[in-house]
Amino acid sequence: MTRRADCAAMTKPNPAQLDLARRLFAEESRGASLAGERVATAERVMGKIFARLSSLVGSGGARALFARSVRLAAAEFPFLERVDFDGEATLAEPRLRLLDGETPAKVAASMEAVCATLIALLETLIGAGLTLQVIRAAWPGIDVAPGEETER
Amino acid sequence: MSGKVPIRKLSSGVPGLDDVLGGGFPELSFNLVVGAPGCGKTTLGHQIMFANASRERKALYFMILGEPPIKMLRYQQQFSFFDLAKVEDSIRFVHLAEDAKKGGLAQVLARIEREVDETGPALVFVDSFRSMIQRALVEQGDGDLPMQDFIQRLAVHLTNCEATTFLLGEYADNEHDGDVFTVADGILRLYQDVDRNSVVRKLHVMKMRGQGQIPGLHTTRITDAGVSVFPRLLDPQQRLVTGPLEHRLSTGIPVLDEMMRGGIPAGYSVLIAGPSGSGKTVLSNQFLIEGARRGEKGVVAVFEKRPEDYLSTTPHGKEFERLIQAGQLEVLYLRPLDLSIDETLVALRAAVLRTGATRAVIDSLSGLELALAPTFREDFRESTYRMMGALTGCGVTVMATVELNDSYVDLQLSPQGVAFLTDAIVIQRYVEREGRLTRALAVVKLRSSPHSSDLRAYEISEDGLMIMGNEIHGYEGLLSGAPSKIEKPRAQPREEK
Repeated sequence: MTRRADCAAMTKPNPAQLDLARRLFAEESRGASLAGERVATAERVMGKIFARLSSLVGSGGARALFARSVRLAAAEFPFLERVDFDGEATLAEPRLRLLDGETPAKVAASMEAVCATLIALLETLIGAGLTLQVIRAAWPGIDVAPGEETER
Repeated sequence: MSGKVPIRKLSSGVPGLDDVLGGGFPELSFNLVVGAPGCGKTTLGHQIMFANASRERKALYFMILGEPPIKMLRYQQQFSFFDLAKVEDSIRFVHLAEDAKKGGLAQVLARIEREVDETGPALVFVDSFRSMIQRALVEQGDGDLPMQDFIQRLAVHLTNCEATTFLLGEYADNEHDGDVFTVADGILRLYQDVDRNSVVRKLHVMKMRGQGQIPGLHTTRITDAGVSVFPRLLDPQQRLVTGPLEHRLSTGIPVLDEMMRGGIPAGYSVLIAGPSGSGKTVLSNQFLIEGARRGEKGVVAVFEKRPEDYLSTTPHGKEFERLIQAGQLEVLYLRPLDLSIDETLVALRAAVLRTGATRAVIDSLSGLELALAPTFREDFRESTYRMMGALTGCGVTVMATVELNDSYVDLQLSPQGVAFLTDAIVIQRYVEREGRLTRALAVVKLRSSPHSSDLRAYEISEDGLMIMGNEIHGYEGLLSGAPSKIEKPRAQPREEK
């Protein structure tokens, strides 16, 4: 049976969105290399986006978008299926520690994929303008050029 | 100094709405925007907000239960008024769904008060307050706030915080909510009426404390630019023509001018009534071209054909194209089938004022009637009366053509019964004389002015000009369809006032 995330119509991040996600992680990583530190980096990135996004679309809306991004990214990183979003969870909480069994590199790559997917999803839903405003508000110093069209 | 508190007015940013409101929304007022789903409440709210919000005048947009925020942002940004740069900079969206779920009205009120105190906004929007109230009514617990207290406290707090407030709520068309409506300073009700196959949007200012608004239901339209309002009654006449009888406009047809004793009095409305092919458009073309020849500007509103089709088929299309290029003529194409007279009037008047036109042609009233939504056809006479009054009130001389039934036993000057509304009437007819069909024209009415009562023959030349002929004498009953020769033709044409 084909999983939903494999369907061609699902949003996938384009190279520019992946690059932006990587730069956000680099900005927050502070040279982290250990698995725990990489998870902490992911939490910081997601926490910042979550805070700005909640302000724009409400915390319920932000949670739903995160959950959707994780689900889409799970097509590439199946272990993300273990990330559970119940009604009250936020990504700022240490839920990502559920991934502790994975290698730090894999965790980092999966989290970048989630972030890039979230950016792609936001661009699909509310446009590049508002999406990049969210990113700029969270990382005022980062250079975010308008991206190319999201792959669907 | 009167000592009265001055109330500044906040421009709505919605074309036509300030006129209806009596100048805009009173600053610090507490307003309700109510209506059924889909009538444009959120769009109107956003349009007002984006027009007024700035870094110095911040806006808070509270969303409770209703359209999910992400969908609202997705769709609202399609409107041209939606300025991305203002989002999160001067406009902040605050979502209260969880507050409503957890703590009902009391928690929602506390959160709104806290956010307002922290931000100090000049504008506050609550969308949709009704969904919250309905939910509170169903689930109201012992500790929750009664609805009227909630509205009352919200109104007091927001006014004291110097915010102009808009509560958007879903109400069925005839639904009234005394407890809530009493508290509001202003109430705007939006409608979306379905009549046969057409849908017409309307707005009614039910209440606006401290200022006079234009009463009645005003047509609205939502386009990519947002909401536009077409006031039912435009502001009072602006530049009435003084001494119209002394200032006459040539029709471009000397004989017809002579029949009118010098042309059409300035600022008059003239009805050109005739059957299909009789030359109504030819006459209106000549009227505009003559104006252009004298350095006057003109506007023509067409309903049956697109401008390019009109220009390619109207008798003086080439000349019109040249005049358009030269900025002496503007062709307005108004053809949606859910048009209202007020929308037509707003477009025509704007064109007249924009171009400084002294001549306007409506070609034709019959086409206009067909372009109207069915609901407006019922009021065609009344609304045409308003339109003519408002246009001539701008000092423009209006010529309107109307299709006359090809009936020779029943002389109706206009099938719509609008003939009495105009200052002058010129009628064109086909008449049969000695086995030949010829065209004839008469000036039936020219208010306060003498005019010829002759029936004049005329022809339309191959290059689209009206070539006037002689008076038709020696017959009677020409217009009735049963002409007969008079044994002794009259020696002199009659003249009457």
